Amino acid sequence: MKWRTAFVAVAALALASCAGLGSTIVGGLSGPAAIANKTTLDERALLGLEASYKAARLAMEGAVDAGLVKRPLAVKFRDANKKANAVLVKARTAYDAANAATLDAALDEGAPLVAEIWKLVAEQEKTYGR
Amino acid sequence: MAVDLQKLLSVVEAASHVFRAAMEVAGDAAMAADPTVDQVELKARLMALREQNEQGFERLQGKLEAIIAAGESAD
Repeated sequence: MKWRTAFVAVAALALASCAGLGSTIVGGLSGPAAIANKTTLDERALLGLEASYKAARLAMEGAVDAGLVKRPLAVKFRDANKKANAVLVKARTAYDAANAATLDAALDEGAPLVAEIWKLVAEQEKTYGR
Repeated sequence: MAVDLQKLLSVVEAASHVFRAAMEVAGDAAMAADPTVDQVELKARLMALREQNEQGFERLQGKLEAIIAAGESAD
């Protein structure tokens, strides 16, 4: 469906902003803009992770609300959602404590978990032939 | 062939919610990459998004648990 394709593109964009922002900003700019960006790097990275999780979460919820998710897939969605949320909690806690190393590790962990959710959403599409 | 109108409406409604949310996510991703957005704006958006995700996580888990429980009782 078109909305899902748009969602995948948006999630990829959000993930890209999360994963690649550091090198772009730190290496690509100079002067006041670079300083301003360095101080907001944590916010930008975490915003990227939160946005990519939101996209994946709503794709799952959209399928649930449309009545397309039965028990076996619901179990997979629940477990994947729980794992992704646990990493988000870790990232938020690290951000609140200004713990850059833990935040970095959580961001690295988060992207594959969001990708795992997308894989499950694709599985649901295959099952229902959409 | 009779169309299950209620089912159709629920699919359309779910798709429209997801589409609207996709626009919001696109805005958030663009904001994260925009060097002109300052820290105050970023923090405000981040906190709003965090709250949405916290509530959305609980809501989704509730819906999934209900499907799982219904499936268990049917088995």
